[in-house]
Amino acid sequence: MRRSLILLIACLLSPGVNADLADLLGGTSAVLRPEQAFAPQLVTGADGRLAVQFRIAPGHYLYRDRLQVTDARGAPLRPQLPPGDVYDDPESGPVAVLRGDQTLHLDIPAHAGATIGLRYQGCAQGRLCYAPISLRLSLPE
Amino acid sequence: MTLRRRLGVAAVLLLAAAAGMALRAWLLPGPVLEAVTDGAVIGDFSLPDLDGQPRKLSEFAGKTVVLNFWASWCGPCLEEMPAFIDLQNRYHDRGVQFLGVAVDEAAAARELATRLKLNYPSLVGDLDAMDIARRLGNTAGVLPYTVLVGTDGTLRARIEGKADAADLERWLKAAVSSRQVRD
Repeated sequence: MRRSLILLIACLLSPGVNADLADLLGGTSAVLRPEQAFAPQLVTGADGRLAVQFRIAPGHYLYRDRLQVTDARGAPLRPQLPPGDVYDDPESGPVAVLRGDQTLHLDIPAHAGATIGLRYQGCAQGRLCYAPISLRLSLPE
Repeated sequence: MTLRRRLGVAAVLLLAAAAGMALRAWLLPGPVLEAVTDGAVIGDFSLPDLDGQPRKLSEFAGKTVVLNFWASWCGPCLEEMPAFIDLQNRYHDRGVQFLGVAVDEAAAARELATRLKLNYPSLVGDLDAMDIARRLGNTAGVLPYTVLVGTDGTLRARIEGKADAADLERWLKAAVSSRQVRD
């Protein structure tokens, strides 16, 4: 009996049984503002190059293939994107999405005041999506 | 492992999955229809429809309007549309008009409207459409976003995210019955 109970609790908390339940346990039913939902930040990577860190809130995801990065003058950049997960959207079919903490690496040396442009789209699973978000991120001077 | 024990494990797994789904529903309830008690008259606006013809909100003055901002890439938007189509069919004769506003490219919005057999008009715009949604209280910039407009043109309620069809129908029934009382 005790083993069954332990198994039940383990299953409830296991992402393997209920894919995003563990996420949801830390989640909230409130509508987050986009800066809270995805929280991008420009940082200096361990290799001395620019990187964009996202802290994606539980229950939320970013569309991997809709991420766009530009330099300060608007010229497109090609970041190294994490592979992400495949999300089988009930309407659109399978799409690659990013969840949790994710880092995009840019092949640009970091320097004080470095600036990039970023455009991204994401959703709160099954509830709502955010209109495309465009912003500029800079390292401190 | 004996058959009895295997069955026991399977039962526990099923129970866990069911409990997980119930917990999910409890943790993430559907977006709530939020009544707006002091709503102002919504300012008129003009956007092209899916055929490129300019249309104004004021064309629908005197009706109970359900104004729904959506996009073709937004799964939750597409999930709620069949319920809107059904409600438009059932409440059209009682002065209810659904009106879409696609925050999208015209071609993508047109393709979706055709595929879903949308039975109400949709306008289309990109940043212009999102600006209108923000003026109507969509401060977080989410889609879908739906506002309910009374026959006097005032903002009566708003829904951030996928609408609950039962909630929306309850609101429509009340709006239609108060309109009949006034008439």
